[in-house]
Formats: sequence, structure tokens, C-alpha cells
Amino acid sequence: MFSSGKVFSRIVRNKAGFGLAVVIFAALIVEGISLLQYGRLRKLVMQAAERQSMVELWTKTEIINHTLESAEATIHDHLWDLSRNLPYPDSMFSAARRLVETNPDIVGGFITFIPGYYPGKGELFEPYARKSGGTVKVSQIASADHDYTANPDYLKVLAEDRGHWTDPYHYVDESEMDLTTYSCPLKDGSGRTVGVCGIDIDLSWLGDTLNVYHSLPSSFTIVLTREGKPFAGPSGSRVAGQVVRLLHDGATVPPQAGSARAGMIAFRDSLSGDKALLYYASRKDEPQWQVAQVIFEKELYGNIRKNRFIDFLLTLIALTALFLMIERFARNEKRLRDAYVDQARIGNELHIARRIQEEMLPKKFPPFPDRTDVDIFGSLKPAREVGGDIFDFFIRDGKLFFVVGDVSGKGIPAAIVMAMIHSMFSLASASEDDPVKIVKAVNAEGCRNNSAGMFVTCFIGVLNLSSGRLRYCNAGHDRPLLVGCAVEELPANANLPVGVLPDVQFEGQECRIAPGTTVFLYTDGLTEAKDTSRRMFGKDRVIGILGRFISDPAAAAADIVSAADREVETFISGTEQEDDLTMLAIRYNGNAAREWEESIVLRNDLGQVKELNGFVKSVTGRLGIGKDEAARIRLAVEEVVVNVIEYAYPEGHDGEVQVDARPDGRSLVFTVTDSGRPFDPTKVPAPDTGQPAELRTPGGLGIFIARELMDSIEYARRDGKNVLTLRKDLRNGARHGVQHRV
Amino acid sequence: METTIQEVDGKLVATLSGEFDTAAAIDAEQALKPLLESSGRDLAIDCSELEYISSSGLRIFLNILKNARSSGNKVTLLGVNEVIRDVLELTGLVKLFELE
Repeated sequence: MFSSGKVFSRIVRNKAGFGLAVVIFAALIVEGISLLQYGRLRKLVMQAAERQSMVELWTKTEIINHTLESAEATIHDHLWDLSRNLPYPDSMFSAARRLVETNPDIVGGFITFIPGYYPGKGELFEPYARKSGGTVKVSQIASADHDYTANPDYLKVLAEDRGHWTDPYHYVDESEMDLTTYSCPLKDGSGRTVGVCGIDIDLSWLGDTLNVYHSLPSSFTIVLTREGKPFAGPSGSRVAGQVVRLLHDGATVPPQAGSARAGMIAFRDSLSGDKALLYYASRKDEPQWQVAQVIFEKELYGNIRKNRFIDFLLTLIALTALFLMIERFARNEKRLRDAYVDQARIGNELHIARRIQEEMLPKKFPPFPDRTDVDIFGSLKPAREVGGDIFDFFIRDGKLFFVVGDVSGKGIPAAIVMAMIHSMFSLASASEDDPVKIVKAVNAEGCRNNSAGMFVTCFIGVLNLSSGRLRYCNAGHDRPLLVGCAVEELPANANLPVGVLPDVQFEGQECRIAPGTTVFLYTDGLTEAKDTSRRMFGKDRVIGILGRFISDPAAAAADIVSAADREVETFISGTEQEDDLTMLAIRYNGNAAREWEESIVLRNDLGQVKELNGFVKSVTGRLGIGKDEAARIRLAVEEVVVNVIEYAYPEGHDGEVQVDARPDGRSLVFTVTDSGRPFDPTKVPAPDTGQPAELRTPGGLGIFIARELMDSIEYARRDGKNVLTLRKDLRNGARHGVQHRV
Repeated sequence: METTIQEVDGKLVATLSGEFDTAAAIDAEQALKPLLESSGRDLAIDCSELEYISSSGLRIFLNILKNARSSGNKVTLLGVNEVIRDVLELTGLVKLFELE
């Protein structure tokens, strides 16, 4: 067989490869989609982060605004009160105290006067209130060492005639703090500027407050002056230093006066290389401080990156599972396909095996047409394509050797054992007459290499055809049934089946079979045949069928077997045959049937036809055959013999032709023997009986007529002689007439 | 087998009795010569007393028929029994003869 199995496995391997390709393709698609989604998500996250940062920046700027504006409001609220109380220099101390007390953010308040404004107070006069440890101390702090008139802020306020915030500064006194100072001009009732009034705001809390919470933990916020000098927030860190440089060193220009600005700068951490985003916004009003917030992309995308990784892992797992499923499917399909190929091959081999098995079984029935002493018919129906049943027989030295067996199991293994048993039976019985020894030989072979543990029940018999003595050995088989004057079991004690133990003893038995008795052997496929209700056919039914043939001299072996076969077929109709079914019927006629045989020897002279016809007439008369039928038989025999007389021997040579006649059961048999040249008249073509008279030639008509009138004519060349056997079935004779054929 | 030949109504009629076997055919060929050589007359063979005919007998019948046909005459077989009819039918000769 062309290696279709290989071709298929390649297809399957390709299928597995195909499965893998599909999975990889799917993985790529999923990964691609995931990447697109990741990109989109990043953009969304980015936008969200931007919004979030802006909101946070705005919020933080608002905190600063609020602090600064409330401080400005506090001082402006007091300006009217101050200008009203200008005439009273000492009231300025309590005014300074009030500045400090009314706003918790204010830690210091001062009022400086233009030099010499209060002549009684000296050239310089500065009442100063200072919050310290929950109390407020007020003092005049102007001196030669503390000459406020040289202070640039003082000068700036006077010069510009408007409020002014100083850049935050670090103040060291009894305690340390970060301060910023707001100063504004102080005017009298006529609008003349008489001094500068100011407050100090503590900013120490600012950096901490702004950094109390960040949506991303590593983010931080710092506050810088307009020029980019940090004063609140974690300005000491490396990244903060980078931020300061970015905002201070020309990467951005300081905000325009009176306008706010905001923006974003992407940069990398100079050391770790992490991508970071710097969002910044400045106040619109003075002081135009800038609030800067830094977020790290790593943190921003960390979650979605992590999620994406988990998604990818999940997808990978799902696809791997899918791949395994596909591969398993392909493997299953391959297994199925292989099984199918195997089955087809086995089916083919079974078919061959069946033919081989059929060849082994006897198939020519009647097997011994020339014999009158025994009539045999056997049939074997395997349940499957090949079976484990066996039957066989042959005649040697006037003895009929026969076997019926049943190998445990069915199908090919049983058939192999069956073939082995068959050949062993043939081999052993070729030289051995004792059935026990034959069984022993079969058993020895059956036990050798019998790893499958198969065994065979069998019945082996040897029937002496002249005496009717039957010797047999039963190796665990069903007892045969005898059909004579009654139906009875052959008393056959069971030995162990063949193939069980190598050294087991087998016992033989013997009995004498009366002429006219049929030995009926079978396998359990007959008695255990089941109908649709699972009832068994049973031995009683078999005995019943055989009972119909009791004391019937015309009962042929074939009739018995076909009757049983019909009954079983009817019984199991609609169900599947489960077991091999074998039947073998051996009818022993003894020599009684060969009561007489008449012979005549004729010369090769047509004149002898008169003697021949007289001879045939006496034979048909002896059998009581009717006149017309007798005439037909006479005619047939005459035509055959005349053919021999005319053609067997060369012209002018004397020769003989012998005619034997004997009854054979239901038939009358003539044997015509001559020593002439080999000639098979059965091979002579039939004449064309449809031709017109003018074209008809008389040749060939004689043989044709003989063939038509007899039931069978067989030719054989034996011992240098032509032997023609003519058989006329007497039972069917009347029905066999030619008038029914035309 | 016994053979008699007579003329009836212008026909030549052969009456056969007994068995027309192969041995008889040798003599019959001679006895039936008038029929084998007749010309211009219809022929009849009375088989009512004939029990049996072999292929040799059929061959003679066939020769008589061929001869009669050559001169445009018929051959009628009278009173054939069942066995002979069987043989005539088997061999197809039944279609060539007139049977009465």
C-alpha cells in the first residue's frame, strides 16, 4: 500500500504547524491591538495627568494667592485707621500690634516713617510688632545700625508709590523662618506719603503644605520666585535642582509682569534617565511666584504598563491553551485517521485471510461422489470476516479422518490458531490412525508458543468405512449427535481442550456405527445462536431437527445440515451472528448400500450396442425405473458408449469398453471406462440446435443428448484410462424431464 | 427394429417399430433408402410403434429431410412418443419436421 499513513501524518504535522501559526498570528493580532490600546491609553493617561497637574497647580497657586491676598487685605484694612491715628505717634505701637494679631499668617508688622516725621521720636522711627511663642512683642527697632531708609524695599515703595512684596528670605532671629514681606505706602489725610507700612508672612509651612498630597507619590511641588529661585518645597533634591535650572537658566523666560503663564517641560532625570514632566504656572499678580510640579512617567504609566503585562500574560496563557487544544484535536484526528487506515488495511487483510481460510476448508460437496459408503456435508459460517472454527476430513486407507474444532475467540488471532490446528491435524493424521495420538500431536503444537493463551475444543474421529468402527477423542468439545433409529449423543467423555497443558493425558473412546447412521458434529455457535430476545437456539432444537431424519434411508448429509441451517437462520433473523457456526454431517452407509454393482465389458463394435441396451434395461428394471425414464437413461448411456466404440481406438484396432452400473443412494451411477486415447467428451461443444435443416450436421448430437439427459457426466483420466461417470438422480427423475425445459 | 414402406395417398410412408438404436441404424440406412432417394413426393414416417431413437437414427431422419426439402417436399413424423419428442426437442429437430 502506498504509504498513505505517512502522507497523512505529514498532513497532521502540518496541521499542528498550522495550529501553531494560527496561534502566533492570533497572538500578534492581540498584541497589536494591545499596543494600540496602550498607546491610546497612554495618551488618555497623559491628558488626565496634565489636567490633574493643572488642577493641582491651580489649587496650590490658590493657596498662595489666598495667603498673600489676605495679608494684603489685612494691611489695607488698617491703613485708614493708621492714617487717622498719625497724630498720635505712640498709638503706632498698638497699630503695629493689631496688624500682627488680626492674621495668623502674619508674624511681624512694622511702620516706618520718613526721617524726621515725628520730631519727638528722632530721625528714624519704626514701631515693630513681632509674634513670638504665642505673644506679641512691640518695640521701636530703628537705629543707626538698622537704618530702614537704606532698605531697597522701602525705597522702592516710596519711589513707585505702591505695594511691594519682597522675595522670600531666610530670617534668623530667636527662631529661624522663611519670610516674605509686603510693604505699602502710608499716607496722611492729605494724601502725602509719610512712611511705609509692612507685614512679614511666615512661609515655612508652604513647602510642606503644598507637598502634603500628590496623586503620584514621587511627584513634588516647589515654589520659585519670578526669577526662578526656589523657596518652598524640596529644593535640595537632584531633580529639584534640575527643575530650578530649567526654570531659572533661560529654558524659560520669567513671566511678563501682570500676566500669568503656564507650561510643561519634559525632561529626563539626569542620573536615572527616567522621563519626567515638569508642569509650571506663575501668578499673574505680584509676586509673580512660580509653582512647579514634577511627575514621573514611570509612575504615570506604571499601572497601565503593569496591567498591559498582566493582559499580555493572560492572553498568552489563553492562546497557549488554545494551541494545546488545537494540537490535541489534530493528534486525536490523526489517531482516528490512523485507526481508520489500520482498519481498512486489516479489512483488506481480513478479506485475504478469509479467502485463505476458505481454501483450507473442504468445499467440494459431495466430496466423494464415487463412494456410496459415506456421504458428508459440512458448513462453516464465521461470525466475523474470519473465524476460529474448523472442520476437515479426508479418507486414507479406507478410514475417514475428521475434525471439528472451535478456537476460543474470534477474528484474526483465532483464525491463525485455527490454521495452525488445521495443518497439525493434516500432518499428524497423515501417518497416524489413533485419534488420541493425533490430538496429542495437535496439543503439543498448540501449547508451543501459545502466549496468547488461546485454546481449542475439538473432536477428532477416525471412522473405518468398511467396519463402521469409530475411534474418537474429544478435547473439550460438544458431543456429536448420532442420527439413526433415534437421535442420541455419542458418549464422548471430554478431555481438556487442546492448547491448555502440554503434558496432559487424552483418552480415546470407540464405538461401532450402524450403516444408515449420521454423525452430526457442530460447534457451540449452533446451540448458542441467539434470537432478538437473547434466547439461545439450544440443543433441544437441534435434536428436534435431527429427529426428522430418523430412519430415513434417503436422508443425505446435505439435507440435515441445510435443514439445521435454515432453522438457525430463521431463529436469529434480525440479529447479528455472534459466534462462528460450524456443522458437519457424516452419513455412514456402510457397504450395505453397495449391495450390487453390475458390469459389462463390450468390444469396440457397434453391434455390441444390443448387449449394452440389454444391460442397461436390466439395471433400470432392477431399480424399478419407469419406462420413459429408463429409455432416457438407455439413450444417454448408449450415446456415450457408442462415442467410445467409434472414436476411442484407432481404426481397425480392437479395444474394450467397460460399463459399471450401481445405485448410489438416490442416484444411479454408470461408469464407462476405456483404454483408448485420452478424450473428454464433456468438453465437446454443444451443437447449434437452432439451425435450419440444410446446415445441420449430425456430429456431436450424441454426447449432447447424453449430457442433457443425465444429471451429471464427469470425465477423469485414471491409470491411463478414460473414466466417465454418469449420474442420474432418481428422486428428481420425473421432475427432471426435458419437457419442462422447453 | 422393423421397417415397412408403403404408398398412401401419393405419400411415401415408412413405418418403424421397435428401437432405433445405433446398431439398428446400420440396417435402417439400407431399409429406408426409398425415402432417402425419393423425389417429388411428400414423405411420412410412422413412429407410433417406435419406442426409442438414438442420435444415429436422428441422423438418418435428418438426411431424409434434407433430401425431401431439396425437391420441395415435406417430411411428417406420425405418432412420436414422449421420449422421442424429448430428444427431438432437445436437438431442435422438432422445428424442422411436421409432427402429427
